[in-house]
Amino acid sequence: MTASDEALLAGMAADDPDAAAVFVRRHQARVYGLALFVVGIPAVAEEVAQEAFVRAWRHADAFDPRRGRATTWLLAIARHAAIDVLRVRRDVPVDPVVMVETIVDPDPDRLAERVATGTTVNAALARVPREQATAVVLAAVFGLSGAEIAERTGVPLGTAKTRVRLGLRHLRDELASTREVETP
Amino acid sequence: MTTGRCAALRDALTEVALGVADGTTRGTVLTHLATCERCRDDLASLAAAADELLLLVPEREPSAGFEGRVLARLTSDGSARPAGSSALADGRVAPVGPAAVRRHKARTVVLAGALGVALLGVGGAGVWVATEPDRDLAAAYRTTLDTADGRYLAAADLTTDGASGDPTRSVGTVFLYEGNPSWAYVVVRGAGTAPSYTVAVTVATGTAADGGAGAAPESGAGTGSDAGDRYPYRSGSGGAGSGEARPQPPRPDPAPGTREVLLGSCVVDAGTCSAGGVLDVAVHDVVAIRLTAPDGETWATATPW
Repeated sequence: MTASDEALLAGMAADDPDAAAVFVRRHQARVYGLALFVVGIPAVAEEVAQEAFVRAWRHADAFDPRRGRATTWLLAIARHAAIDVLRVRRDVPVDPVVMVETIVDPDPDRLAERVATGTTVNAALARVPREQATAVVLAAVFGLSGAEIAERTGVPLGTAKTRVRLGLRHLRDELASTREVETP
Repeated sequence: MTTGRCAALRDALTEVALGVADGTTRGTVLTHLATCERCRDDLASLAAAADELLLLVPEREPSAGFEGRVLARLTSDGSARPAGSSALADGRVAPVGPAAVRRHKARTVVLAGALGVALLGVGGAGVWVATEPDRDLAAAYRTTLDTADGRYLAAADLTTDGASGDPTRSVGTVFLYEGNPSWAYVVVRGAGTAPSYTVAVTVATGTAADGGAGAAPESGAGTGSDAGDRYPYRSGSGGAGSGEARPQPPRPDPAPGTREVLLGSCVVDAGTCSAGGVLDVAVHDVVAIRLTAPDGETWATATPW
């Protein structure tokens, strides 16, 4: 049972229920985790996570492995579904800034765990100045615009936009240099 | 090559990479990208970095049975495909996924015209249709909801019961709106043989555990002690599904912890009908919407959640 995600997506595109089952099982914790992180209500998060898999199934034939991994493709779909909900519901209890702080400044145990599992993006983000990292994650995960970030973090609009721009470039460059070190 | 235009669009390009640009900004950037390879590469690498950030969110296991619920939605979408879908009546064999996409798009046009918002129920759950751009859709949806102090709009597939041996098939759609007022509306595209159907909404009363053995029905308890036996939904075998023409009350006892609200009558004309009305209960408490033929037989149901 080590079919690649790409093979599973191809199976889903061809309407193979077994492929869909394996794909859902493999990714449900990530997708549900992201949904819950954004919307904060388990029942709503479940609906978002289900919706993400339905969308993934519908668009499985459009997945292009040359443009990225299946995991990030799926998570991007889940993020969209979660943000859709975020924008129409007013009872979402989540404070994005508080949530993002847990990512930007995670406790040491979780950091060690991530390094152990080979996630490089955390290490890369750790080298981005904190205000920039917070601004970037607010946009990347919660879909906040520059104006919304400015309002929530109490800085002028221009500052917020600059932080997002510099933060994302910084992150990209750190990711690239990390990969160069890993794969000489 | 870097130009003044590239520099002027730095923030806009970043917003597009992060998926937070509004339509105007997105259009401006895309126009520029058509002539600037450097910015295209820049956008690709920035977007990839942005996507990586989603991996930082901690994993959480959903509640038990999640996988089954997802697969049920996928399967029910596929099983609904042959029914009443004239687009597929030409005998063409197509994979379910792409076929379903085409079907959804075709339906969306109709629904968007009728409701001003592209929402679609698939397999018993409210679904936001992924038409792009998602943010524009979300904004239009929010405006729609604001008009009547709405919280959300959901839709669900209406399927025949399959009790009389026929395969279950999709015959229409149920729309639910939580707002002021809340309402439900049923549209039947492939009506059966009856001249009309009674539309009833089953509502959770919250006073009894679902299916709890000791739970007392809130109303109608005097008509019989075998309410569980006559549970009217999706009775695929035995019980109410037997061929015997057993006399049934017009409104069977609701399941424990639920009650029934009569919504109205759906009078068939040229194979279609529709009915709707205001709900005096929270839409989230709606368990099912049921269409009953004049002989008391349940013909079709929709379960929105």
